[in-house]
Amino acid sequence: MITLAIDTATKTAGVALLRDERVLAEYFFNLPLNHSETVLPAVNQALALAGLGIGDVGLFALTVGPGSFTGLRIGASTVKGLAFATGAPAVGVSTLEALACNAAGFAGLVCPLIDARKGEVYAALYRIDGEGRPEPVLDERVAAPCEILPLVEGNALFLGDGLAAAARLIAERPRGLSHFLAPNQQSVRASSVALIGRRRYLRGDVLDLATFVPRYLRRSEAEVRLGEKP
Amino acid sequence: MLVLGIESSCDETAAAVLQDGRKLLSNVIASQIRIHEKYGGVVPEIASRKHVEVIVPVIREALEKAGVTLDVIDGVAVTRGPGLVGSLLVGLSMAKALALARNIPFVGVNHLEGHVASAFLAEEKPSFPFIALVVSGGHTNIYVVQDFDRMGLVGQTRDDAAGEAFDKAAKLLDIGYPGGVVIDRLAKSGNPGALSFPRSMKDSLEFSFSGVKTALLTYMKKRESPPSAREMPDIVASYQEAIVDVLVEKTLRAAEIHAIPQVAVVGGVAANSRLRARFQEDAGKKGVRVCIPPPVFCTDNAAMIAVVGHHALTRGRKDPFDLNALSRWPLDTL
Repeated sequence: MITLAIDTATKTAGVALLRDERVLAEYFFNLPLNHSETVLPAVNQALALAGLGIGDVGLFALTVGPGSFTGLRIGASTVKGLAFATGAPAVGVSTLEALACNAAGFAGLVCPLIDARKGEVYAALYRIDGEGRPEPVLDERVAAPCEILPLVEGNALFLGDGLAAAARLIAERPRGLSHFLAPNQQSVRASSVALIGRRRYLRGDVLDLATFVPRYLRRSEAEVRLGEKP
Repeated sequence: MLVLGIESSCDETAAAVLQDGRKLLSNVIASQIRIHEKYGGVVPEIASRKHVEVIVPVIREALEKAGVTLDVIDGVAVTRGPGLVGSLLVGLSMAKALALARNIPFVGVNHLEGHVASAFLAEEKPSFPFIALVVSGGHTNIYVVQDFDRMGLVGQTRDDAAGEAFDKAAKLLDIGYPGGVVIDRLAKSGNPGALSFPRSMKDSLEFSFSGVKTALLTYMKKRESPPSAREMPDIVASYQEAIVDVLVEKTLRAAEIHAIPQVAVVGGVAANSRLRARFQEDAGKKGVRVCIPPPVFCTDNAAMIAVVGHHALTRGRKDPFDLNALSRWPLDTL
């Protein structure tokens, strides 16, 4: 089965094309361009170079959040369009879970952190099993780093563009218990989205195309302000 | 040729199917008015969230009502701007994905060009050239329209758009949302000559509506008590008349200056019943022909986007997959 994965959840964007569990093509963008300018051309090119048509795709996978609101909607609208037009199913993957895959091989807790601005991060905790699959330990949430860090005990690996916001608190942890990855391992890889999505699909977990919405984890500011009014 | 139009530039998610540029097979609009009501205006983030939630059902309904499937659509036309970027990106991403998946061309359409083209959805269709007044919550522009892709801007507002002037007045008077619709309704039982509000920039094709808004504010401050329900219709009718007067007069003057005895009145404010009536009256007196589309094509819709798209597609235009949305995109193609 051919899986096409799209990630537009954060500042970076990615596209991956897989046949079963084999990655055929993978694109990664960290450019000052809107994801609307990069992702669909990459989908088009990946398919063409692989000698495949969009009709050959058996599954669409995407990061459904958390992340940048606009980015999430570009991904959701694109996948809704592709899946609606082809009739192939779509499956949603947590941005944090996909990011955690970069830490495969690490035995302790994995703490992906995505910059949520306003002094907060999107975070969750995972353990990665022997086959590189993240198992959730702490549900995804948006919070200040000072609310996340006390929940991370023992050996832990921190990654993601939220690292800077949490750096001071991570430095206060006991020596030797905090671990990091190389600079090119700090962003979501679309191939991880494809692999997680494929497993989820095989378990029967698909999105309802007509109704699914991104997992924002945060209300809009207008809703928050309205809620705060006496 | 069957064109699927998609519009998501502000707070309506819309899709339409147009056959051969003239025959509208369906026109579906999911309005978010109720959602934004409690905020007193369109909240961009909430609008964008709603678009992504309803866009597939809206497109599906448009196809079903047209009695077609996506397989027979020949091209997709989508609003590229101007508008709220977050909202535009939902429709644009969808349109690009549909085009890629169906291997059909897509074109990004200027929303203002769409409004001008909505004149062709009126019973009385204009013929080129004509003068177009695009009047909405975001724009008050007068164009000389030579052809679908040749429109010259000859007048615009220096400050607020006419629709904005209605919305701000409704907020000030606390009479409900959306302002323009409420004022239109209340004004029907009022006397438009009861109060005198200023008509700005008399000798120009430029508009300014901040003066009339300030005049209303001053009037309200001077009052000793808030207006009663009985007085309100006179206030809003007088205020509305000041705006309508200016819109009608300047548009007809543009027709005179450019010697084009044909005007189209389009955009959300063109749904205003007083504006429609006054254009019919005053244009008739001057021997100018008026085209005003039915109200459903005045407010944001995808049918007008499909009309523009049809002409672009039949000329062989095909936009690239890296096309981005534009929050600002002035229309002036002469």
